[in-house]
Amino acid sequence: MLQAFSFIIRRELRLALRRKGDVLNVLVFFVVVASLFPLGVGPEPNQLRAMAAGVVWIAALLAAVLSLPRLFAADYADGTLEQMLVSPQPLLVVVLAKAAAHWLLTGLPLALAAPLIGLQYDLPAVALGVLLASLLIGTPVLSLLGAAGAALTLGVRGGGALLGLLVLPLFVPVLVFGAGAVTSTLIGINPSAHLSLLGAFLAVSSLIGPWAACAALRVALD
Amino acid sequence: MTSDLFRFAAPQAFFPLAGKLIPWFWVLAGVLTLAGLYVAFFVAPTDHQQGEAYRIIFIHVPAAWMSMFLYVVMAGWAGLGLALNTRLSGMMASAIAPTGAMFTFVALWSGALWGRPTWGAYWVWDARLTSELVLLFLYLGFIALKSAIPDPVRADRAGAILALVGVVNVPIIYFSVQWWNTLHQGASVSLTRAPSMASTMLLGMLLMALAAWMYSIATALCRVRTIILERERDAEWVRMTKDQMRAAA
Amino acid sequence: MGAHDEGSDAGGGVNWGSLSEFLDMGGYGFYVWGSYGVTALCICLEIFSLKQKKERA
Repeated sequence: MLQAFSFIIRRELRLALRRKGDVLNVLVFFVVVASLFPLGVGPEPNQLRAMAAGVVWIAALLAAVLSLPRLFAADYADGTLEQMLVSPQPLLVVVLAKAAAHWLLTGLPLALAAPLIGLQYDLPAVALGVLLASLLIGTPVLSLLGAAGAALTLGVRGGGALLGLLVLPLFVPVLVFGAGAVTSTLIGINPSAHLSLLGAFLAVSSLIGPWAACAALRVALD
Repeated sequence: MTSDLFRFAAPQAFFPLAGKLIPWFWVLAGVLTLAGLYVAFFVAPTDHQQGEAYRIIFIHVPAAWMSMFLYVVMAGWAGLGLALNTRLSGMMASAIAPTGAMFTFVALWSGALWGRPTWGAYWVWDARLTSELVLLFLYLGFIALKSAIPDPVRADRAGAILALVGVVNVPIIYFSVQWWNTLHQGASVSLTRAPSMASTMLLGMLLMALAAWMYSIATALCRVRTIILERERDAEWVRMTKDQMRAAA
Repeated sequence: MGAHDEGSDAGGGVNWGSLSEFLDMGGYGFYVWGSYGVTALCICLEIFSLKQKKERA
């Protein structure tokens, strides 16, 4: 089972290497969105510092939504997904591996780029670390719950916008706890409560996300 | 008893039963609304702090209760449909969603109109209003997903999965919004925590809540009947029922 | 005063001296009737759409 898991991850990464543009575009999108906010609200440093975490997190949510439709689409179109459904390894392993690969290709790069954006917003060093930590804990949720959304909208017309409508409300706790961790650091409160809650939500979504994604894939391929 | 229940789980048996029940629920909804409005406007006293503006709670609170409760009921039908694979369950979930979304909208609208005289702004990012807003998004997502999938069986199953994921998340979202609200020191006057809630106020609220229940049942049953007619239009019994309905009209 | 105070328990019932007082709602008429009016409108729209769907079915 572990073998199947790592096999699928390696396959996904290999495919991604062949289409570097897709991965890079999401990252560039994230940076562009986050850099547009000061142009909209003005360069006042105190204001920017206060909104930095929210901006970074919302840009991350949007970038994730943008990347999610491709999670199952190619395998659905060429029939690979159908083969995976009838193959001996459980569907859950396939979904978990795909979500993990998605995180490695989008969540992780976003998290690593986030401190740079934090610098643009004049965040102090401690807050930069908390921002990185919150993204590292929080972005897997986007891949896990997002996998369910991607599976539900598989082959549905106008799937991209619909996917956003389905998953963005579910991401509310990630946004609250993730951005809240950084904000509380800025006002001198220990962020560990926020980060623990974020971790707890990650645990919950690692149970329901893959389950829902499996069920939705079975429905889509029925 | 259980065999009876399962018999009515078939759309063909449920259709006439719902038809017989619907008028009763309409009558109950009407009577309870009139009684509730009477208590709300002519019995309940003026609130010392909020004046007459507080009378908005007689629709705001029942609508907010109903919106949350209907989401849970909808998810319950959805889960039943996934577990037992009954056709009727998915139809019930689809029938409940628009009414739930309507009550969510009413709760938001009345909350905003209450907020203007109380907080001085139509919209304040208060924990309850914010959670209601997210709930509205969840309803809209459910309705949008169902209408985007042409095959009704697939739409029912996909909708059911979404509703179940949503219902697990609703308490977490609610908690996170409360948490966020305390971090940012939100508005402290709450629409529901009226300091001196007279028992007549509570009575008015309960009557209106019961009216909302009856209304929701009536609309859900009406809607499920039209869904049944649409989905099973090729069945022999549907053609016969339609002829009878036309003859009666 | 006194027409409706039999059902209240918190110091005298609410009495509206006239229709205009009732409509004014102590200065909050716009907010109170705005809420009730839109709720009634939503309910009417829902019932109307149900009727239409039923006729089409």
